[in-house]
Amino acid sequence: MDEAKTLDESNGSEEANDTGALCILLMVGRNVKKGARDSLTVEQLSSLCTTNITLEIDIPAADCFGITNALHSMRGGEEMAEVYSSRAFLPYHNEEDFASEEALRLGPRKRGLGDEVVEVLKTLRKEWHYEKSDR
Amino acid sequence: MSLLGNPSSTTASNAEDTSRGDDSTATIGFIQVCRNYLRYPSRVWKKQGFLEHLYKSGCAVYVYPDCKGVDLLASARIRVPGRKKLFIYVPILISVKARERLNKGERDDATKKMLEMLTSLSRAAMIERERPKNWMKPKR
Repeated sequence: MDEAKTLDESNGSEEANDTGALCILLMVGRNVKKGARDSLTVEQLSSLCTTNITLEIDIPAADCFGITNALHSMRGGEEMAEVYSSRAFLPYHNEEDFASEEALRLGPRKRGLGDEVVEVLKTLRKEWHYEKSDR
Repeated sequence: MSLLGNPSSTTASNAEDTSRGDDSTATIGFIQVCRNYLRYPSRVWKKQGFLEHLYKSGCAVYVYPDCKGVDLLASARIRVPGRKKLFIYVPILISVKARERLNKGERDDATKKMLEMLTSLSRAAMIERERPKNWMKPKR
């Protein structure tokens, strides 16, 4: 019989005390790879039960999966991709659509987001013009 | 993935097996990332039951859309120091950045957002603990 127990079972309580957490910043496609805090010691791991630990991991430029190369060849990454992927309420739109906030087609839930939607749209508009002038 | 110690405990199937000499300090057992964020609101991210389930199922999950600072959530099993068969499950918050340039300030900012997220999770858990069990039941 497996005698392994979790802290909950051991204490007989519903919830364990507040635990720590491991926060990992995973960086893909960086050109200059330096300064990442990527070391983790046994002592740190032991203290993870109670404290938060942060870690920065760089995906190597020549990784065996070719992630960095694929990303560089797509040229679709960067901040814009992050904004689109994390904000499902932003549909695909052309440059003209940026002018109109109606392009968001706000439903009840999206309407609830209020200012954030407009804020993101303004940022995207700025980014778009910056990219165009950069070409 | 074994963070330290015996790398044999790489899958969820043998994650519970302590009889095979698994003396790792900490292990991560996920082999896939699922998009089932609808099931898991952020207030449960630090609950032991949820994290244990996540660990044993071998899954990590994408967090809900618009989440500031975190993209993926996984679980790690940590052996409580001095207790050979007692484990605690801790959340692993992962933020993925795909940029050619990411200076120290931006990296620190991303890390800070994750830590702020943790603080809000702890606060939410504390409120939930202090809330009476029958708070949702209408008074008669």
